[in-house]
Amino acid sequence: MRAVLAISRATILECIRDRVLYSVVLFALGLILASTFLSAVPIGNQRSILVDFGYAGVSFLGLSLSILLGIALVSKEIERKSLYWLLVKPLSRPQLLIGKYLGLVAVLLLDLQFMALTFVLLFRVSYDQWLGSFFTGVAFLFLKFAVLTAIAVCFSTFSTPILSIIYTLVVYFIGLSTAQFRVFAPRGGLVAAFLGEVFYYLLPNFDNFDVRKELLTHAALPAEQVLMAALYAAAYIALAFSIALYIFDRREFK
Amino acid sequence: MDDSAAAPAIEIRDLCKVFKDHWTRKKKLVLDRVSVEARRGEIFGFIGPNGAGKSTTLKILTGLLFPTSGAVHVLGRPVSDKEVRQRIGFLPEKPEFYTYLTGAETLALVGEIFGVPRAELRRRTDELLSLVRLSDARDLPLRKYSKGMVQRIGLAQALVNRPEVVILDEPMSDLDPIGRREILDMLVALKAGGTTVFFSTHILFDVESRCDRFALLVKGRVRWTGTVAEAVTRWGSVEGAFMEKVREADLESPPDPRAGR
Repeated sequence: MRAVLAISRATILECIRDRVLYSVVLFALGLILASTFLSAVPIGNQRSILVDFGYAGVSFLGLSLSILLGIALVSKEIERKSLYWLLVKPLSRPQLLIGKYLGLVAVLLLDLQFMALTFVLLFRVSYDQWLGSFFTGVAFLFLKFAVLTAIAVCFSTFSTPILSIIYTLVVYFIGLSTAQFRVFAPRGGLVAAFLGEVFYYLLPNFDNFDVRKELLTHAALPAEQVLMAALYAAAYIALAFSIALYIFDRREFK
Repeated sequence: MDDSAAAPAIEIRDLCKVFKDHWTRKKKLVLDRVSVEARRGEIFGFIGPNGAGKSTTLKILTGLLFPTSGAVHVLGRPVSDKEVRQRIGFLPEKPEFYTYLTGAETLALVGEIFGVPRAELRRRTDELLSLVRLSDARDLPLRKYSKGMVQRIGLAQALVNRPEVVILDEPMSDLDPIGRREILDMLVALKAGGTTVFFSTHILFDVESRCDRFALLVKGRVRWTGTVAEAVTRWGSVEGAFMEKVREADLESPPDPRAGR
């Protein structure tokens, strides 16, 4: 366990000292700050626009981190051969991969919560209202991107960095619409209906983590929904990681 | 295989490695029945021209690659054994570390993995940084290290666990003459402390001046193994042995990849 934690700590240090991370955070912060100007435009529901922008900013950050760091975690390290010296230590390959993943997920959590706090404070200044439910929304986003990171890690174990990015993005965008695809696919015939079912059950349905509506209506999220989302995320992370560990454990490092 | 003091530090027997390439290309037999034995407490040089298969052998020896056939044992046990990894140190060729970690953090990370108690780890980190002359650069991120400094921190990380066997892949590459001399002196000091040193190189002078024995690998086959003194008696120098064996190998037909199956 100490070895796994040491790898996680090193991963966190690497991430927070990497300038790429700061540029992504700054861009997302910029997006949130820009929303305050846009919300001043007298169209529609200004609060809703602000929440949408805040949510989009945090989503952008989560997606960027999952892709950039998730791929860098394994794929780039294999390419740069910076894993070689660690693979010879008394540390199993699953321990190494799990340690790195935990470190990355910790960075993801910290960054998303930092962004959420920034947004909530901004909202408070603009509307004199404490939007505590935004943290819940971001917690759901965290689950979504923890799943996506595990998928990125999985692709990284057998693919090049560029291909891993492409595969992960494809899964992400399909995952955003598997539910709709399942509904509309039968109109395209039997094959399309079958594919709709396959995609629905094989790929993660990221709609399960979208609680924007509840945020806007300030509706309290039922405990069941929170628990189901957490279990759903845990199941997909376990699945993606099992595949990743199976491949990584058998992989050769030329 | 037993783990008695009599078991060799490193034993490679009939090792073959075939790289399966793209389906349109031929398979390549990179190692052809390689057998090498390094005794405990000696400095063993593993030499050969570029592309001879030295790094591939060392990667199999450290578990980064898997053998196609043959057996590899370190301290009498297979290298996949966690116990063996606890007792060896490894420096890869042209090592890449985590560039945002400092030298001290890199050694601390290794110490944590080896389960070195925290108080001892601090002492060990100071000791190793001093040994490789990086005490002044302990808090500098590795991305600011020169190539020679990276090589030295690489050697330090291989020694954190006070290994019984140290395996080094081209440890003198990218070093200036002073840096090379320092590393060589460290290898001699390690031997004096009872550590077995197994290193690959194509710098023949280093082998002649510091090794007890060496193996010469050309085109994936071990062409000669023996003491430096034997080679000097027979060919006048290690370089003489090297040139002779490379010439002989050049006259051979290329190895059959099916031999490694």
